Amino acid sequence: MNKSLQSTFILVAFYLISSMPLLSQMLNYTMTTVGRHNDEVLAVFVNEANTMFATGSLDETIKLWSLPDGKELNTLKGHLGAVYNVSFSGNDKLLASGSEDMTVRIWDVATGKELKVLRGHSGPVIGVYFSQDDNSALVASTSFDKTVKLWDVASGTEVKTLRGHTEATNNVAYSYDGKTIASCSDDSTIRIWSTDLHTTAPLMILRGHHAPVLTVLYSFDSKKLASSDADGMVIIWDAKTGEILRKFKAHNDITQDVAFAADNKTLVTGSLDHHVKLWDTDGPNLLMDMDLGVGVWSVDLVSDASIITVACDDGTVRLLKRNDNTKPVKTKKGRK
Amino acid sequence: MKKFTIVFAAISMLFITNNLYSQLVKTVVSVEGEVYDAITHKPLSLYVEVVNADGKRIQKVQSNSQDGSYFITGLTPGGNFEIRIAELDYMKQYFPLSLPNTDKYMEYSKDINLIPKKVGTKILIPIKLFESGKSNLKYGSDLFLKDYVDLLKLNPTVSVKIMSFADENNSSKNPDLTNQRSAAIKEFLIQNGIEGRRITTEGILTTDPAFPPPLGKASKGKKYLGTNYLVVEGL
Repeated sequence: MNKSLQSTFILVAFYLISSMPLLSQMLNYTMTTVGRHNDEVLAVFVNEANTMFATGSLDETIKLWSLPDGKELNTLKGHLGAVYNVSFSGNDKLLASGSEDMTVRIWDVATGKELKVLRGHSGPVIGVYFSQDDNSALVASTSFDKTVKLWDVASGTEVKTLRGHTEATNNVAYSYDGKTIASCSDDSTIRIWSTDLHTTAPLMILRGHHAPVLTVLYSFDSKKLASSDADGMVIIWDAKTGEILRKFKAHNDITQDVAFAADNKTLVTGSLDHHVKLWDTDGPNLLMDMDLGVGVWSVDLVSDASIITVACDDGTVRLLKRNDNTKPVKTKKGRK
Repeated sequence: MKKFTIVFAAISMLFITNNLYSQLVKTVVSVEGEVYDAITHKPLSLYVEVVNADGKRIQKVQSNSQDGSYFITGLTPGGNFEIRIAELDYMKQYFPLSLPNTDKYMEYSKDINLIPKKVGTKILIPIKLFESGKSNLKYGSDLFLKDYVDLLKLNPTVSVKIMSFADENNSSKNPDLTNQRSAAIKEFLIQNGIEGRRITTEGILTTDPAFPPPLGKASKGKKYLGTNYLVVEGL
């Protein structure tokens, strides 16, 4: 090979490599343990302003932590059972929690005071999610009693019970346009419901999982849904039509949680297989894979995916921080 | 005088029509839900009554025999009501219903679980009342135990046994723990007005065969605590 051909080859190779996504830069996250609960950490949720996150635990408490430094701010006590899920209100002033004690509780984030105890489910409450309207008027909850309930936060009244799942309902999410709610269940389906308080039949039933569906979540533009199941499968759905856009094996064990970044395509997944993974769901392309050495119950991230919050089954609360800013995810107001 | 009469008539008409109008457009709200047997979880068809804060019955409907559903409308927003069910085969139970103020039609939801009135009925207390290895009631457990106080007050002839199961099968470390737990629940009921003679206790040294400790980590939650029951002993 002559010298000029060799140079051309090197230049072309350099061009091709440099034009590829900078995966090595995307992979560059550092893990720190910021604190711990006295038992397994089951839930994590980052607030709207990306300044705080909450964790819920088998130790029956909720903890609030600062971002980006991960300092423990407060411990909220009151539940008489594991805290399975937490959700900040849109204005970050309130926090909802769902527990094994069959209650949904509303907390004042600033003071840590318990404001409301919502009773009505006849089984443990597994999922909670605040409505995305400006005043966060409603909270949705799911339970082992197979129902989805909507609660008026101000009065603490149960305003709607959605029935149809044939097994325990695992998680629930509001769309960001406020029009629909998605719930997922051990019956392997996802049901889409109208937020109109007079419509009780599901608008769509999404079938595609072949195992209990453990979580479901809208993208911030409300155009996509992400769901994960007990076999480690993740499905990306068209939220309007219910079509499957992507379906991939993300993990080798129970994948309890997923969260979208603000670009509506970057997705973090966490599993009991000890891995936290970051995906570009347009591929899907794996952007980051970190083995934490412990099972992961729940994950969330800040809008630009520069920090991933992780709830672990050894009781630790961990942060994965991106070490560079070479390819930040487009920032947009929004949250998990 | 004629002018005055016209004005008076006009004002009266205005008042009457306004009153009629307000009656016509008076906001009402509705409540829907399903009625179940708390033990078998089967839907029940029976009469559901709503009484107002004065104890006056304002609605009575029958729940659907297929799915136990009921629908009650014509309720005033902002009102405090009580759903009452009087059925011979079930314990008398009242369910408070506080409706928010609203100026538009709303529907609210309330499911009802009824406890059979039958000797031997085992009523599971579905809350972890105690810490592992401890027998003092946890802070906040009164919120749930007051349901059983209300139940026993509404059914004054019913007597119960409080049964507490162990946290682990090898409970030789603290054989008195389950006795202490059932006694703590009894003490709470007595302190809240239930006669002690209506309550017996039993601590059991094994785990609950109906809810055995989990074998593996299949889903969220694995900390196991012994269960507690109210068992109906007399009617």
